[in-house]
Amino acid sequence: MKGHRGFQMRLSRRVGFLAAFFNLLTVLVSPAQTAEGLTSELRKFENSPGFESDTTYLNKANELGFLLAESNPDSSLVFLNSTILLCREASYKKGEAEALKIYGNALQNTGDFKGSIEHYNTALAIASEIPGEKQVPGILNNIGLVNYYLGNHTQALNNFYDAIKRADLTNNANVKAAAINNVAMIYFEQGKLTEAKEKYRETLAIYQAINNPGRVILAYNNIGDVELRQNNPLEALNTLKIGYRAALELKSPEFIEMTSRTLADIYSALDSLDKAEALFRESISMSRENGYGVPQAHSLIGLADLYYKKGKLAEASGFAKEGLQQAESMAQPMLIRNANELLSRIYEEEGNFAEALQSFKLFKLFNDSINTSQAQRLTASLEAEYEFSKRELEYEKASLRQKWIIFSTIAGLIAFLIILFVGNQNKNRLNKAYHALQEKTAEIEIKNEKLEKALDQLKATQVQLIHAEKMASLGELTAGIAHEIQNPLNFVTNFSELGSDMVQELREERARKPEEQDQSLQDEILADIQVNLDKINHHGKRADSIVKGMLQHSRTSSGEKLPTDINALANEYLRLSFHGLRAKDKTFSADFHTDLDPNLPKAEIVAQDISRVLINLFNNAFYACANAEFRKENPDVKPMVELSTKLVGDTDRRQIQITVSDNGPGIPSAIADKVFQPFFTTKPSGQGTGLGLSLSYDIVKAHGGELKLKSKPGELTTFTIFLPV
Amino acid sequence: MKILVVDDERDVEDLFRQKFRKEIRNEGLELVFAFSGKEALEILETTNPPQVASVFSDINMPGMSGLEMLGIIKSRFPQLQVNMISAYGDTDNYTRAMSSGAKGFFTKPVDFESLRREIGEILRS
Repeated sequence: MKGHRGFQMRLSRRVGFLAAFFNLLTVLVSPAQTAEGLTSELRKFENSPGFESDTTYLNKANELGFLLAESNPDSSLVFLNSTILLCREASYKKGEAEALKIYGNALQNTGDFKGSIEHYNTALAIASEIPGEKQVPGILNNIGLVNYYLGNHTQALNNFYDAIKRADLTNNANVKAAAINNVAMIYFEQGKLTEAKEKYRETLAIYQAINNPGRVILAYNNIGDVELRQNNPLEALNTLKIGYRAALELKSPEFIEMTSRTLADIYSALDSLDKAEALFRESISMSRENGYGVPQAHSLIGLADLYYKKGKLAEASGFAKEGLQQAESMAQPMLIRNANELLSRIYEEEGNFAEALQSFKLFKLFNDSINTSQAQRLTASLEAEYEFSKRELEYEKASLRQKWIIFSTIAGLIAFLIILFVGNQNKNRLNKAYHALQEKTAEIEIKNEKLEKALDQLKATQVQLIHAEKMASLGELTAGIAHEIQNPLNFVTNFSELGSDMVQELREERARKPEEQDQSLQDEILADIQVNLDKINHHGKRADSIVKGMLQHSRTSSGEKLPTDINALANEYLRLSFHGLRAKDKTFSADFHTDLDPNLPKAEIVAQDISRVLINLFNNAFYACANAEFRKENPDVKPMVELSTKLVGDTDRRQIQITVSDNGPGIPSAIADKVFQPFFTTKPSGQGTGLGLSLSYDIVKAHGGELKLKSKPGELTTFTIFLPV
Repeated sequence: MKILVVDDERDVEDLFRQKFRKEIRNEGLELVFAFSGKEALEILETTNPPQVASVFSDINMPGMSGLEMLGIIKSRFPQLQVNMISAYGDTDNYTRAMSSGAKGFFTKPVDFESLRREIGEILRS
C-alpha cells in the first residue's frame, strides 16, 4: 500500500511540474514580472489613444493573461477573450495566436480539455501562417500536453516529437527541451524509467548548453524523481542535493520549493521523517507565500502522510484535509485521490468509519478514473460523479450512521463467515493432514512391529543355527570321541585285568616254599603292578578329560577367558577330529603331523569357543585332503594335515600362531574371500551348515585375534589363527 | 619266534609285554612293536623273507590305516600271517579285513585268552 501510495504521489507531483512549466515559459519570454506590475503598466497604456492596436500593449496584455491563466484560470477567461478580440481587430496575428494559446492554457487549467484543444488548434492555424512559424513548436507542445491529460499518450508523443522537430528547425532550444521533457514524462508514466531518465538527461544537456540554471535544476529534479521511482532513493538523494544546492544559489523560490518537495519525498522514502517534515514545511510555506497551489497541496498531503506514519492522527488529519481542499481548488484529481486515500485510513484509525467510508469512496472514484487513464471521463464523468456522489452523500448523511451500522454489521457478519469458512477449511485440512499423519504413524508402527518380530525371529534363527552348527560339529566328533574314550577304557580294562592276573601270580609265587620262591620275579611283578596302576590312572584321566571337553563343547559358552594350554587343546581336538572322521568313513585315510612349540605361553581364551574353531579347521582340513573323491582323482597324494604352533610378533605384541594345513585341492582364489561368509559351503547339501568358518572367524575376532586363509590351489591350504598372548 | 604288533597307542607295548610275559620268558616269544603302518612295513622289509612270523595290527591309525597296510603286506609277503585288531567290530571292517587276506580279526577290548591261543598256535607251529 505504501509503495503504491508513493507512486501515486509522485504521479501527482508530475502535474505540479507541468504547472511550473508554464510559468517558466513566461519567465523566459520576458523578465519576471508580477501581475500587479503588468496591470499598472497596462493602465498607463490605456491612457493613450489607439492603445488597442499597439502590439507592445497587446504583448503586455498577453503576459498578464498568461499569469492570470495560471493563477486564476476561471476569471482569466474574460480578460483573455478581450485580448484575442483586440489582436484580431488589430490584425496582430502573432498576438492573436499567443492569446488563443494562453486561452487554451487557461481552459486546460480549468479542466476543459476539449475547449483547450480547440483554442490551441486555432492558435496553431494562425501561427502556421506567420513566416518562421516560431510559435508552432510551443503550441504543438501544449496540444501534446492536453492529449497527455486526455490519456492519448500516442497522440501526445506524436505532438511532442512534432514539436521537437519544429523546434530544431526554428532553433528553439527551450521548446525542444520542454517537449523532450514531456516525452520523458510520458515514458515515466508508462513505467519506461530507463527511457525517461535518458530523456531527462537530454534536457539537462540542452539546458546546461544554453546556460539555463533554472531548467538545469528542473532536469536534476526530474532525474532524481525517476531514480526515486526506480527504488534508488540514495542515488536520487545525490541528484536532488545538486538540484537543491543550485536552487539555493539561484535564490529562486520556485526551484527551492520544487527541489525541497522532491527531497522531502526522497527522505520520506528513506524514512528520515524529520528531514522530510522540515522540507515539506519549507515547501508549504514557500508555496503559500508565492501562491504555488498545486505544490502546496502536494506538500500538505505529504506532510499529512508523515504525521500518519508517526501515528499523530490529529495532525495528519488536519494537513490531509487542508491538502485535499487545496487539491480540490486546484482540480488535481491525483492529489484529491491521494488525500482521500490517506484520509480514509486516518478516519479508520480514529474509528470514524462513516468518514472513512466516504473518503474511501472518493478515493476509489478518483483512482478508477486515473487508472483507466481516461481524462475525458476524468473531466466529464468524474466531476459529475463527484458532484453526484457528494449530493448523494449529503442526502444519505442523515441515515448514514444507521446504514453504517447495518453495513458494518453485515460486513462484520460476512467477515466472520469468511473467517469461519476459512478457519473451517483450515481445520478440515489440518484434520485431514492429521488423520493422514496418524494413518502413516499407525502404518509405521505396524511395520516397526513386523520388523521387530522379524528381527526377533532372525535372532532366534541365528541362535538355532549356531546351536545347529555346534551340534553338527559335535556330531562329527561323536565317533572320534567314542574312539578316543574307547581306547583309554580298553587300557583301563586291560591293565586292571593284568593287575589282577599279576596279583594272582604273586600269590601263587608266595604260596611256594620259601626256598623255591623267586625273589626277583616277585619284585618284577610288583613293579609291573605299580606301572599298570599308573597306566590305569593315566588312561582314566585321559577319558575323563575327553568327556569334560565334550561337555564343555556342547555347553553354552560362559564367555569366561581362562589361561589355556593351546598345544594340549589343539592336539586333543586334532585327534578327536581324526578319529571322528575315521570312525565315520571306513575308507578314510589320512596322516597328521604336529609341530608344537614347547615354549608356547598359555593364552587367555574361552577354550570351548577356540576348540570349536580348531575342530572346524581340522575337520575341514581332513575333509579336503582325504575325501573319497579327491583321493580317487589324486591317488598319488598322501593326505596329510599339519598342525603347528609358534610364538610370533614383537616382544610388546606377541601372538600365538596356530596353523592348520592340508595338502588337499586348495581353495580357488575366486571363492577364497567367501569362505568366511555365513552359509557358504562347498560340501554337498545337507553335509555342511556353511557356518563353521563364519563362526570361527567371529570367535577369533572376539578374542582380538585374526583368522587368515592362504591357499595354493593344487598344493595346499593353510588356515592361520593369531591369538594375542 | 617274532611277532610284530602294530598300534599307534604306545601303551600297547607294555600291555602286550606283560600279558605275554610267560610266553616271552618260557616259550621263546619275541614281540616287536611298530606305531604306524609305515614303521611296520619298514621293520618287515629289513629282511626278505621277514623274520616276523606273524603280525597283529590295529586298524585305526593316523596315516596308513591297518587295512591299507594289510593289503601291502599281503601283496609283498603273501605267506605272512596278519591278524587285525579293531575297536570297531563292525561287519564292514571284518569283511574288508578277511577279504584282504587277514588270518584273524580281534575286537577291542582284546580278549587276551583268544589272542593267547592264537599266539600259542603260532609258537607251536
